[in-house]
Amino acid sequence: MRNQAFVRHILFFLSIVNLLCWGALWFLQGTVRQHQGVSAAFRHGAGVPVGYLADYIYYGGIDRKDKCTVVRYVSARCSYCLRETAQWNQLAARAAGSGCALVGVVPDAVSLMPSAAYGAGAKTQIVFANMEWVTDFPPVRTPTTMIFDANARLVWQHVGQLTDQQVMEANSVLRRLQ
Amino acid sequence: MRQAWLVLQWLALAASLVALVQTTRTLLHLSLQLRSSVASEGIGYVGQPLSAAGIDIHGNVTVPTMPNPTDTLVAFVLRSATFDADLAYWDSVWHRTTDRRRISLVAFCGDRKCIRLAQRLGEHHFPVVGYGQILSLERLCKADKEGSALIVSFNGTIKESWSWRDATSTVTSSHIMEVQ
Repeated sequence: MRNQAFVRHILFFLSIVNLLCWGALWFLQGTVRQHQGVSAAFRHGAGVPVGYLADYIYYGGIDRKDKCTVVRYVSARCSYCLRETAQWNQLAARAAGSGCALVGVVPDAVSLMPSAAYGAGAKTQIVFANMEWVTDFPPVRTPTTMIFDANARLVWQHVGQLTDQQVMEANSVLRRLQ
Repeated sequence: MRQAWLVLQWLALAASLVALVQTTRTLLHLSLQLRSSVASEGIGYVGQPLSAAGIDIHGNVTVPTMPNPTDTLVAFVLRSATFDADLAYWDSVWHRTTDRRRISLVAFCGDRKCIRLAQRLGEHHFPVVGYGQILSLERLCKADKEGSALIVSFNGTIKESWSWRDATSTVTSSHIMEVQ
């Protein structure tokens, strides 16, 4: 009887430890997911986006008279990025109509994404990035979409696939910039 | 009271079993994630493509061409913190490299400060690239963290990584010339 109670106490203790471990793992996984999704440079400032486009890409070819710049980065390793073509085309058309420049950051010369990834029908300028892009942006496989204002300051970003909700959000940002 | 304590213990045991299953699933998921990440990134550099095409520090497009099978390109990163020493090292390598038709050196700036420093110095013996393609930059950045340069064959794939920060410029230049 005493042995049974002892075993029960041990099991109870182990179950508590197990629950704590599970909680720690759950927390850890959430943290990893969060860090995979958002760039370090643009996360800085807790909700207040900071970061300048000219710090990361070769700005020489971009018309600075544009009201804003919509930047699209699609990793060559992203196999599912073309699924959101409809949403991206919608945003690209709206941005081009608002007098914004469309910029695609080049992942790889050999496997350049089809033009659909950078917005069909809208003129997208392909640009090169510097090494600080690589150090500040983790190499995410998901597409990254960013909107910079006329002063090349980041005002909106989304890391991951674009949904209708995000297109609406981006459209309201573009309206504000007009 | 005692019965309530017993029930609590059994409940804790049941929760423990559920937690055990969940922990196993989480660990399995994490290991799968890690495995897929290793598979997509690759453990080494050999065989992976590297392009030195980009925009140099003067704003010109650089597209190094290597038409012959024996042509070799050596890509390395200049750090702003050690800019003068890095540049002097690779200048020395360039001077010691006798077969300059076959061997091309290409420097990549590690940050914007390096771009400014390189612009201030004017012309260099080899192109200094400020802006390039993300995947190539990623590979160079990773190699530079290990103190290495990447030696690229004529077809644009990485032949080997060379730990130049541990070697003298004489050793590096003779190694580059030996690479076929």
